[in-house]
Amino acid sequence: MKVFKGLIYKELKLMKNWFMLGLALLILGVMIGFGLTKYFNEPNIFVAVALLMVVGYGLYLPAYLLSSLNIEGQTQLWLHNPNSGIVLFLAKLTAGIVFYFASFLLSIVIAIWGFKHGGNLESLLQLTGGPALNIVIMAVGITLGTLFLGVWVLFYWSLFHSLKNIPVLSSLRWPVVIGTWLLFTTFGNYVSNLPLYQKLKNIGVIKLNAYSFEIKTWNTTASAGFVESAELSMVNGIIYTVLVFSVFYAAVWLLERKVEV
Amino acid sequence: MIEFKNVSKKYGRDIGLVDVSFSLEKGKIYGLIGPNGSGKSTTLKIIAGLVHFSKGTVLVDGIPVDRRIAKKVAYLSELDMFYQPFKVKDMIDFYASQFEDFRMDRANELLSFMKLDPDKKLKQLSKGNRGRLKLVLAMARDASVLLLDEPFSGLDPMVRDSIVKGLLSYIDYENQTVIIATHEIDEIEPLLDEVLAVKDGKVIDRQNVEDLRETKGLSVIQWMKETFKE
Repeated sequence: MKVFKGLIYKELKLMKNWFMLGLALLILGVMIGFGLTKYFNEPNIFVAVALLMVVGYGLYLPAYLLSSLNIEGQTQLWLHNPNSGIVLFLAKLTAGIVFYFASFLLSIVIAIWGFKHGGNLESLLQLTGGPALNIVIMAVGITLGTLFLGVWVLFYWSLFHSLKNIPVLSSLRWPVVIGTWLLFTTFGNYVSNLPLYQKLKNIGVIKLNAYSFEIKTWNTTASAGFVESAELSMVNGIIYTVLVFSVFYAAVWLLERKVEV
Repeated sequence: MIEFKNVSKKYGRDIGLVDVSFSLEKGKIYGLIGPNGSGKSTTLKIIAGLVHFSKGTVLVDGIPVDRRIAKKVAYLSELDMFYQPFKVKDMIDFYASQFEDFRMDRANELLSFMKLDPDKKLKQLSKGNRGRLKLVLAMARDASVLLLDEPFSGLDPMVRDSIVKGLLSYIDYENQTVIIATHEIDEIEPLLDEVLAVKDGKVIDRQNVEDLRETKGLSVIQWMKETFKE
Protein backbone atom coordinates (compact mmCIF):
# COMPACT_ATOMS: atom_id res chain seq x y z
CA MET A 1 0.00 0.00 0.00
CA LYS A 2 2.94 2.30 0.76
CA VAL A 3 4.13 1.90 -2.83
CA PHE A 4 0.71 2.70 -4.30
CA LYS A 5 0.16 5.65 -1.97
CA GLY A 6 3.58 7.03 -2.90
CA LEU A 7 2.77 6.74 -6.61
CA ILE A 8 -0.67 8.33 -6.18
CA TYR A 9 0.73 11.21 -4.13
CA LYS A 10 3.43 11.76 -6.76
CA GLU A 11 0.86 11.67 -9.56
CA LEU A 12 -1.54 14.10 -7.88
CA LYS A 13 1.27 16.54 -7.17
CA LEU A 14 2.73 16.17 -10.64
CA MET A 15 -0.58 16.72 -12.44
CA LYS A 16 -2.14 19.31 -10.13
CA ASN A 17 -1.62 22.09 -12.66
CA TRP A 18 -3.19 19.99 -15.40
CA PHE A 19 -6.27 19.54 -13.21
CA MET A 20 -6.42 23.29 -12.53
CA LEU A 21 -6.17 23.93 -16.27
CA GLY A 22 -9.15 21.57 -16.79
CA LEU A 23 -11.17 23.52 -14.23
CA ALA A 24 -10.18 26.80 -15.89
CA LEU A 25 -11.40 25.46 -19.25
CA LEU A 26 -14.66 24.40 -17.61
CA ILE A 27 -15.16 27.89 -16.21
CA LEU A 28 -14.31 29.34 -19.61
CA GLY A 29 -16.94 27.06 -21.15
CA VAL A 30 -19.54 28.27 -18.64
CA MET A 31 -18.67 31.88 -19.42
CA ILE A 32 -18.95 31.25 -23.16
CA GLY A 33 -22.29 29.52 -22.58
CA PHE A 34 -23.58 32.46 -20.60
CA GLY A 35 -22.23 34.92 -23.11
CA LEU A 36 -23.91 33.17 -26.07
CA THR A 37 -27.17 32.82 -24.11
CA LYS A 38 -27.20 36.55 -23.43
CA TYR A 39 -26.11 37.52 -26.95
CA PHE A 40 -28.75 35.42 -28.76
CA ASN A 41 -31.27 35.73 -25.94
CA GLU A 42 -31.76 31.96 -26.14
CA PRO A 43 -31.63 30.21 -22.71
CA ASN A 44 -31.22 26.74 -24.25
CA ILE A 45 -27.77 27.61 -25.57
CA PHE A 46 -26.34 27.36 -22.06
CA VAL A 47 -27.88 23.89 -21.61
CA ALA A 48 -26.44 22.77 -24.94
CA VAL A 49 -22.97 24.10 -24.04
CA ALA A 50 -23.16 22.49 -20.58
CA LEU A 51 -24.14 19.15 -22.14
CA LEU A 52 -21.33 19.41 -24.68
CA MET A 53 -18.90 19.96 -21.83
CA VAL A 54 -20.25 16.90 -20.00
CA VAL A 55 -19.91 14.78 -23.15
CA GLY A 56 -16.40 16.20 -23.68
CA TYR A 57 -15.33 14.50 -20.45
CA GLY A 58 -15.21 11.28 -22.43
CA LEU A 59 -11.76 12.48 -23.52
CA TYR A 60 -10.63 13.59 -20.06
CA LEU A 61 -8.83 10.44 -18.94
CA PRO A 62 -7.09 9.76 -22.28
CA ALA A 63 -5.85 13.37 -22.38
CA TYR A 64 -4.76 13.20 -18.74
CA LEU A 65 -2.87 9.94 -19.23
CA LEU A 66 -1.18 11.17 -22.40
CA SER A 67 -0.02 14.28 -20.62
CA SER A 68 1.18 12.38 -17.54
CA LEU A 69 2.94 9.67 -19.56
CA ASN A 70 4.55 12.34 -21.70
CA ILE A 71 6.13 13.82 -18.55
CA GLU A 72 7.33 10.37 -17.48
CA GLY A 73 8.75 9.79 -20.96
CA GLN A 74 11.11 12.72 -20.53
CA THR A 75 13.14 11.01 -17.79
CA GLN A 76 13.70 7.43 -16.66
CA LEU A 77 12.58 8.18 -13.11
CA TRP A 78 9.20 6.46 -13.45
CA LEU A 79 10.62 3.33 -15.05
CA HIS A 80 13.50 3.01 -12.55
CA ASN A 81 11.17 1.36 -10.07
CA PRO A 82 11.11 -2.21 -8.73
CA ASN A 83 7.32 -2.40 -8.61
CA SER A 84 5.16 -4.06 -11.23
CA GLY A 85 3.85 -2.31 -14.31
CA ILE A 86 0.33 -3.08 -13.10
CA VAL A 87 0.92 -0.93 -10.01
CA LEU A 88 2.55 1.85 -12.04
CA PHE A 89 -0.32 2.03 -14.52
CA LEU A 90 -3.07 1.55 -11.91
CA ALA A 91 -1.69 4.45 -9.87
CA LYS A 92 -1.89 6.66 -12.97
CA LEU A 93 -5.43 5.51 -13.74
CA THR A 94 -6.53 6.02 -10.13
CA ALA A 95 -5.10 9.53 -9.86
CA GLY A 96 -6.62 10.37 -13.26
CA ILE A 97 -10.01 9.11 -12.11
CA VAL A 98 -9.80 11.18 -8.91
CA PHE A 99 -9.18 14.32 -10.98
CA TYR A 100 -11.79 13.22 -13.52
CA PHE A 101 -14.53 12.83 -10.92
CA ALA A 102 -13.69 16.07 -9.13
CA SER A 103 -13.94 17.97 -12.41
CA PHE A 104 -16.72 15.90 -13.98
CA LEU A 105 -19.06 16.23 -10.97
CA LEU A 106 -18.71 19.97 -11.20
CA SER A 107 -19.66 19.87 -14.89
CA ILE A 108 -22.68 17.71 -14.06
CA VAL A 109 -23.83 20.13 -11.37
CA ILE A 110 -23.49 22.92 -13.94
CA ALA A 111 -25.47 20.87 -16.50
CA ILE A 112 -28.26 20.10 -14.00
CA TRP A 113 -28.40 23.76 -13.01
CA GLY A 114 -28.59 24.59 -16.71
CA PHE A 115 -31.49 22.17 -17.18
CA LYS A 116 -33.37 23.66 -14.26
CA HIS A 117 -32.86 27.20 -15.41
CA GLY A 118 -33.12 26.52 -19.14
CA GLY A 119 -35.96 27.77 -21.26
CA ASN A 120 -38.37 25.48 -23.02
CA LEU A 121 -36.60 22.17 -22.60
CA GLU A 122 -39.17 20.26 -24.66
CA SER A 123 -37.89 22.05 -27.73
CA LEU A 124 -34.38 20.77 -26.98
CA LEU A 125 -34.84 17.40 -25.37
CA GLN A 126 -37.61 14.94 -24.84
CA LEU A 127 -36.91 13.63 -21.40
CA THR A 128 -38.89 10.74 -20.05
CA GLY A 129 -36.99 10.11 -16.84
CA GLY A 130 -36.21 13.55 -15.46
CA PRO A 131 -33.01 15.55 -16.15
CA ALA A 132 -31.05 14.30 -13.11
CA LEU A 133 -31.69 10.62 -13.88
CA ASN A 134 -30.83 11.06 -17.54
CA ILE A 135 -27.64 12.92 -16.72
CA VAL A 136 -26.60 10.22 -14.25
CA ILE A 137 -27.07 7.52 -16.91
CA MET A 138 -25.15 9.63 -19.37
CA ALA A 139 -22.41 10.20 -16.75
CA VAL A 140 -22.02 6.45 -16.19
CA GLY A 141 -21.71 5.93 -19.95
CA ILE A 142 -19.15 8.73 -20.31
CA THR A 143 -17.14 7.42 -17.34
CA LEU A 144 -16.99 3.92 -18.83
CA GLY A 145 -16.08 5.45 -22.18
CA THR A 146 -13.24 7.57 -20.78
CA LEU A 147 -11.86 4.52 -18.90
CA PHE A 148 -12.01 2.45 -22.08
CA LEU A 149 -10.16 5.09 -24.10
CA GLY A 150 -7.71 5.67 -21.24
CA VAL A 151 -6.63 2.04 -21.21
CA TRP A 152 -6.07 2.20 -24.98
CA VAL A 153 -3.86 5.27 -24.42
CA LEU A 154 -1.71 3.20 -22.02
CA PHE A 155 -1.36 0.57 -24.72
CA TYR A 156 -0.52 2.94 -27.57
CA TRP A 157 1.97 4.90 -25.42
CA SER A 158 3.68 1.63 -24.47
CA LEU A 159 3.68 0.46 -28.09
CA PHE A 160 5.16 3.77 -29.26
CA HIS A 161 8.01 3.61 -26.75
CA SER A 162 8.57 -0.11 -27.35
CA LEU A 163 9.27 0.49 -31.02
CA LYS A 164 12.35 2.51 -30.06
CA ASN A 165 13.86 -0.85 -29.18
CA ILE A 166 13.47 -2.20 -32.73
CA PRO A 167 16.12 -0.58 -34.96
CA VAL A 168 14.16 -1.03 -38.23
CA LEU A 169 11.00 0.55 -36.81
CA SER A 170 12.38 3.18 -34.45
CA SER A 171 12.12 5.93 -37.06
CA LEU A 172 8.65 4.77 -38.18
CA ARG A 173 7.01 4.78 -34.76
CA TRP A 174 4.12 7.11 -35.59
CA PRO A 175 3.11 5.30 -38.83
CA VAL A 176 3.28 1.95 -37.00
CA VAL A 177 1.10 3.20 -34.12
CA ILE A 178 -1.44 4.75 -36.53
CA GLY A 179 -1.38 1.57 -38.65
CA THR A 180 -1.98 -0.55 -35.53
CA TRP A 181 -4.92 1.67 -34.59
CA LEU A 182 -6.40 1.36 -38.11
CA LEU A 183 -5.90 -2.40 -38.03
CA PHE A 184 -7.61 -2.79 -34.65
CA THR A 185 -10.47 -0.46 -35.68
CA THR A 186 -11.06 -2.34 -38.95
CA PHE A 187 -10.91 -5.68 -37.17
CA GLY A 188 -13.29 -4.40 -34.45
CA ASN A 189 -15.77 -3.20 -37.07
CA TYR A 190 -15.54 -6.50 -38.92
CA VAL A 191 -16.15 -8.54 -35.75
CA SER A 192 -19.00 -6.32 -34.56
CA ASN A 193 -20.79 -6.88 -37.89
CA LEU A 194 -20.50 -10.67 -37.76
CA PRO A 195 -23.88 -12.42 -37.34
CA LEU A 196 -22.40 -14.42 -34.43
CA TYR A 197 -21.45 -11.23 -32.58
CA GLN A 198 -24.91 -9.76 -33.22
CA LYS A 199 -26.46 -12.91 -31.76
CA LEU A 200 -24.19 -12.78 -28.71
CA LYS A 201 -24.94 -9.10 -28.26
CA ASN A 202 -28.65 -9.81 -28.09
CA ILE A 203 -28.26 -12.17 -25.14
CA GLY A 204 -29.26 -10.60 -21.81
CA VAL A 205 -30.32 -7.21 -23.19
CA ILE A 206 -31.85 -4.76 -20.71
CA LYS A 207 -34.06 -2.20 -22.43
CA LEU A 208 -33.63 1.03 -20.55
CA ASN A 209 -36.68 2.66 -22.15
CA ALA A 210 -38.84 0.04 -20.38
CA TYR A 211 -37.86 1.93 -17.24
CA SER A 212 -38.49 5.32 -18.88
CA PHE A 213 -34.79 6.21 -19.00
CA GLU A 214 -34.89 7.05 -22.69
CA ILE A 215 -33.50 10.34 -23.93
CA LYS A 216 -34.64 11.58 -27.32
CA THR A 217 -33.05 14.46 -29.06
CA TRP A 218 -31.35 15.67 -32.23
CA ASN A 219 -31.87 12.46 -34.10
CA THR A 220 -29.90 13.68 -37.05
CA THR A 221 -26.69 14.55 -35.16
CA ALA A 222 -26.61 11.33 -33.12
CA SER A 223 -24.37 12.86 -30.45
CA ALA A 224 -22.57 10.58 -28.01
CA GLY A 225 -24.66 9.78 -24.99
CA PHE A 226 -27.94 10.39 -26.74
CA VAL A 227 -29.77 7.38 -28.10
CA GLU A 228 -33.18 6.76 -29.49
CA SER A 229 -33.87 3.58 -27.61
CA ALA A 230 -31.26 2.92 -24.97
CA GLU A 231 -30.43 -0.67 -24.12
CA LEU A 232 -27.66 -2.48 -22.30
CA SER A 233 -26.27 -5.75 -23.56
CA MET A 234 -24.80 -7.87 -20.78
CA VAL A 235 -22.72 -9.96 -23.20
CA ASN A 236 -21.45 -6.79 -24.85
CA GLY A 237 -20.47 -5.55 -21.41
CA ILE A 238 -18.57 -8.78 -20.70
CA ILE A 239 -16.82 -8.64 -24.10
CA TYR A 240 -15.75 -5.03 -23.51
CA THR A 241 -14.57 -5.85 -19.96
CA VAL A 242 -12.43 -8.72 -21.28
CA LEU A 243 -11.13 -6.42 -24.03
CA VAL A 244 -10.18 -3.68 -21.54
CA PHE A 245 -8.34 -6.16 -19.30
CA SER A 246 -6.54 -7.67 -22.30
CA VAL A 247 -5.44 -4.26 -23.58
CA PHE A 248 -4.32 -3.26 -20.08
CA TYR A 249 -2.23 -6.41 -19.67
CA ALA A 250 -0.74 -5.98 -23.16
CA ALA A 251 0.31 -2.46 -22.12
CA VAL A 252 1.83 -3.82 -18.90
CA TRP A 253 3.69 -6.54 -20.84
CA LEU A 254 5.19 -3.94 -23.16
CA LEU A 255 6.10 -1.69 -20.24
CA GLU A 256 7.92 -4.49 -18.43
CA ARG A 257 9.80 -5.92 -21.38
CA LYS A 258 10.07 -3.48 -24.24
CA VAL A 259 9.51 0.16 -23.30
CA GLU A 260 12.50 2.50 -23.50
CA VAL A 261 12.21 6.22 -22.98
CA MET B 1 27.95 -9.89 -9.28
CA ILE B 2 27.27 -8.54 -12.76
CA GLU B 3 27.77 -10.59 -15.93
CA PHE B 4 27.64 -9.43 -19.54
CA LYS B 5 27.70 -12.25 -22.10
CA ASN B 6 28.05 -11.22 -25.76
CA VAL B 7 25.83 -8.19 -25.31
CA SER B 8 25.02 -5.95 -28.26
CA LYS B 9 22.79 -2.92 -28.42
CA LYS B 10 21.73 -0.86 -31.42
CA TYR B 11 19.97 2.51 -31.46
CA GLY B 12 18.42 2.58 -34.92
CA ARG B 13 21.47 2.54 -37.19
CA ASP B 14 23.79 3.65 -34.40
CA ILE B 15 25.77 1.19 -32.37
CA GLY B 16 25.49 1.23 -28.57
CA LEU B 17 27.44 -1.88 -27.63
CA VAL B 18 29.07 -4.59 -29.76
CA ASP B 19 29.40 -8.13 -28.43
CA VAL B 20 30.52 -7.06 -24.98
CA SER B 21 31.42 -9.68 -22.35
CA PHE B 22 32.75 -9.06 -18.85
CA SER B 23 31.95 -9.82 -15.25
CA LEU B 24 32.17 -7.54 -12.23
CA GLU B 25 32.61 -8.84 -8.71
CA LYS B 26 30.85 -7.95 -5.50
CA GLY B 27 32.68 -5.61 -3.13
CA LYS B 28 34.64 -3.70 -5.77
CA ILE B 29 34.50 -0.22 -7.23
CA TYR B 30 34.84 -0.07 -11.01
CA GLY B 31 35.49 2.91 -13.20
CA LEU B 32 33.98 2.95 -16.67
CA ILE B 33 36.07 5.27 -18.76
CA GLY B 34 35.75 6.37 -22.35
CA PRO B 35 34.96 9.27 -24.68
CA ASN B 36 31.44 10.62 -25.19
CA GLY B 37 29.21 8.17 -27.04
CA SER B 38 31.52 5.23 -26.34
CA GLY B 39 28.84 3.14 -24.62
CA LYS B 40 29.40 3.92 -20.92
CA SER B 41 25.88 5.19 -20.23
CA THR B 42 24.34 2.42 -22.33
CA THR B 43 26.20 -0.15 -20.23
CA LEU B 44 24.85 1.36 -17.01
CA LYS B 45 21.31 1.67 -18.38
CA ILE B 46 21.38 -1.98 -19.43
CA ILE B 47 22.41 -3.04 -15.91
CA ALA B 48 19.62 -0.83 -14.52
CA GLY B 49 17.10 -2.55 -16.82
CA LEU B 50 16.23 0.72 -18.52
CA VAL B 51 17.61 -0.18 -21.93
CA HIS B 52 16.86 -3.46 -23.65
CA PHE B 53 19.82 -5.03 -25.40
CA SER B 54 19.52 -6.51 -28.88
CA LYS B 55 21.62 -9.64 -28.24
CA GLY B 56 23.25 -11.49 -25.36
CA THR B 57 22.63 -12.00 -21.66
CA VAL B 58 23.01 -9.71 -18.67
CA LEU B 59 22.76 -11.06 -15.14
CA VAL B 60 22.78 -9.25 -11.80
CA ASP B 61 23.35 -11.64 -8.90
CA GLY B 62 22.36 -14.43 -11.30
CA ILE B 63 19.05 -12.81 -12.26
CA PRO B 64 18.43 -11.75 -15.91
CA VAL B 65 17.94 -8.00 -15.93
CA ASP B 66 14.67 -6.31 -16.72
CA ARG B 67 13.05 -3.13 -15.47
CA ARG B 68 12.35 -4.62 -12.06
CA ILE B 69 16.02 -5.26 -11.37
CA ALA B 70 15.75 -1.77 -9.84
CA LYS B 71 15.07 -3.70 -6.63
CA LYS B 72 18.77 -4.58 -6.54
CA VAL B 73 20.23 -1.72 -8.53
CA ALA B 74 20.49 1.93 -7.48
CA TYR B 75 21.01 4.15 -10.52
CA LEU B 76 22.13 7.73 -10.73
CA SER B 77 21.54 9.09 -14.23
CA GLU B 78 23.72 11.68 -15.92
CA LEU B 79 20.46 13.49 -16.77
CA ASP B 80 18.04 15.30 -14.50
CA MET B 81 15.68 12.70 -13.07
CA PHE B 82 13.30 14.75 -10.95
CA TYR B 83 9.66 15.70 -10.83
CA GLN B 84 9.79 19.46 -11.25
CA PRO B 85 6.86 20.44 -8.96
CA PHE B 86 8.47 18.54 -6.06
CA LYS B 87 10.42 19.79 -3.09
CA VAL B 88 13.61 18.02 -1.98
CA LYS B 89 11.73 16.20 0.78
CA ASP B 90 9.02 15.07 -1.71
CA MET B 91 11.69 13.35 -3.79
CA ILE B 92 13.10 11.69 -0.67
CA ASP B 93 9.62 10.55 0.42
CA PHE B 94 8.85 9.25 -3.07
CA TYR B 95 12.03 7.17 -3.16
CA ALA B 96 11.35 5.91 0.37
CA SER B 97 7.88 4.78 -0.71
CA GLN B 98 9.14 2.92 -3.81
CA PHE B 99 12.38 1.25 -2.68
CA GLU B 100 12.30 -1.14 0.26
CA ASP B 101 16.03 -0.68 0.81
CA PHE B 102 15.83 3.12 1.05
CA ARG B 103 17.26 4.22 4.41
CA MET B 104 15.57 7.38 5.62
CA ASP B 105 18.14 7.93 8.40
CA ARG B 106 20.96 7.76 5.86
CA ALA B 107 19.06 10.08 3.50
CA ASN B 108 18.72 12.67 6.27
CA GLU B 109 22.43 12.36 7.12
CA LEU B 110 23.33 12.76 3.46
CA LEU B 111 21.03 15.77 3.09
CA SER B 112 22.80 17.58 5.89
CA PHE B 113 26.22 16.47 4.62
CA MET B 114 25.33 17.86 1.20
CA LYS B 115 23.85 21.00 2.82
CA LEU B 116 20.50 20.55 1.06
CA ASP B 117 17.36 22.16 2.45
CA PRO B 118 14.52 19.57 2.42
CA ASP B 119 11.92 22.31 1.97
CA LYS B 120 13.55 23.80 -1.10
CA LYS B 121 11.66 23.42 -4.38
CA LEU B 122 13.56 21.42 -7.00
CA LYS B 123 13.15 24.08 -9.67
CA GLN B 124 14.93 26.51 -7.34
CA LEU B 125 17.98 24.25 -6.95
CA SER B 126 21.20 25.07 -8.75
CA LYS B 127 22.72 22.51 -11.11
CA GLY B 128 25.25 21.61 -8.44
CA ASN B 129 22.58 21.06 -5.79
CA ARG B 130 20.53 18.96 -8.16
CA GLY B 131 23.63 16.83 -8.65
CA ARG B 132 23.96 16.52 -4.87
CA LEU B 133 20.34 15.44 -4.53
CA LYS B 134 20.85 12.74 -7.15
CA LEU B 135 23.74 11.44 -5.07
CA VAL B 136 21.59 11.49 -1.90
CA LEU B 137 18.84 9.48 -3.62
CA ALA B 138 21.22 6.84 -4.95
CA MET B 139 23.48 6.56 -1.89
CA ALA B 140 20.61 6.30 0.61
CA ARG B 141 19.73 2.89 -0.79
CA ASP B 142 21.12 -0.40 0.48
CA ALA B 143 21.22 -1.81 -3.06
CA SER B 144 23.69 -4.53 -4.01
CA VAL B 145 24.66 -2.61 -7.16
CA LEU B 146 25.29 1.12 -7.27
CA LEU B 147 25.54 2.71 -10.72
CA LEU B 148 26.77 6.30 -10.91
CA ASP B 149 26.72 7.96 -14.32
CA GLU B 150 28.80 11.16 -14.25
CA PRO B 151 27.99 11.63 -10.55
CA PHE B 152 30.15 14.71 -10.07
CA SER B 153 29.20 16.71 -13.15
CA GLY B 154 27.87 20.09 -12.16
CA LEU B 155 29.52 19.94 -8.72
CA ASP B 156 31.74 22.84 -7.79
CA PRO B 157 35.38 21.66 -8.26
CA MET B 158 36.26 23.23 -4.90
CA VAL B 159 33.89 20.93 -2.98
CA ARG B 160 34.01 17.95 -5.31
CA ASP B 161 36.95 16.39 -3.55
CA SER B 162 35.42 16.64 -0.07
CA ILE B 163 32.08 15.30 -1.35
CA VAL B 164 33.78 12.32 -2.94
CA LYS B 165 35.63 11.56 0.30
CA GLY B 166 32.47 11.98 2.35
CA LEU B 167 30.50 9.67 0.11
CA LEU B 168 33.03 6.89 0.62
CA SER B 169 31.69 6.33 4.12
CA TYR B 170 28.30 5.43 2.64
CA ILE B 171 29.57 2.66 0.39
CA ASP B 172 29.26 -0.90 1.68
CA TYR B 173 32.65 -2.28 0.61
CA GLU B 174 31.72 -5.84 1.54
CA ASN B 175 28.47 -6.23 -0.31
CA GLN B 176 28.11 -3.56 -2.97
CA THR B 177 29.34 -3.50 -6.54
CA VAL B 178 29.87 0.12 -7.51
CA ILE B 179 30.31 1.26 -11.11
CA ILE B 180 31.21 4.86 -11.82
CA ALA B 181 31.14 6.20 -15.38
CA THR B 182 32.93 9.51 -15.47
CA HIS B 183 35.28 11.95 -17.12
CA GLU B 184 36.45 13.34 -13.75
CA ILE B 185 39.17 10.74 -13.21
CA ASP B 186 41.23 12.87 -10.82
CA GLU B 187 38.79 12.73 -7.93
CA ILE B 188 37.76 9.11 -8.22
CA GLU B 189 41.12 7.52 -8.98
CA PRO B 190 41.86 6.73 -5.29
CA LEU B 191 38.48 4.96 -4.98
CA LEU B 192 38.78 2.61 -7.90
CA ASP B 193 39.72 -1.06 -7.75
CA GLU B 194 39.51 -1.63 -11.49
CA VAL B 195 39.02 0.42 -14.65
CA LEU B 196 37.39 -0.60 -17.91
CA ALA B 197 38.08 1.36 -21.07
CA VAL B 198 35.09 1.61 -23.41
CA LYS B 199 35.36 2.78 -27.01
CA ASP B 200 32.96 2.47 -29.97
CA GLY B 201 30.72 0.14 -27.98
CA LYS B 202 33.49 -2.24 -27.00
CA VAL B 203 35.47 -2.83 -23.81
CA ILE B 204 38.96 -2.38 -25.21
CA ASP B 205 40.95 -2.79 -22.00
CA ARG B 206 40.56 -3.62 -18.34
CA GLN B 207 43.09 -3.01 -15.60
CA ASN B 208 43.47 -3.45 -11.87
CA VAL B 209 44.34 0.05 -10.62
CA GLU B 210 46.88 -1.19 -8.06
CA ASP B 211 48.67 -3.38 -10.62
CA LEU B 212 48.65 -0.48 -13.04
CA ARG B 213 50.47 1.68 -10.51
CA GLU B 214 52.85 -0.98 -9.20
CA THR B 215 53.80 -2.93 -12.31
CA LYS B 216 53.42 -0.33 -15.03
CA GLY B 217 53.97 2.77 -12.94
CA LEU B 218 50.96 4.45 -14.50
CA SER B 219 48.16 6.49 -12.98
CA VAL B 220 44.66 5.91 -14.34
CA ILE B 221 44.85 9.17 -16.29
CA GLN B 222 48.16 8.18 -17.89
CA TRP B 223 46.78 4.75 -18.76
CA MET B 224 43.64 6.38 -20.17
CA LYS B 225 45.69 8.73 -22.37
CA GLU B 226 47.67 5.78 -23.70
CA THR B 227 44.62 3.64 -24.26
CA PHE B 228 42.60 6.25 -26.09
CA LYS B 229 45.50 7.65 -28.11
CA GLU B 230 44.33 8.01 -31.71
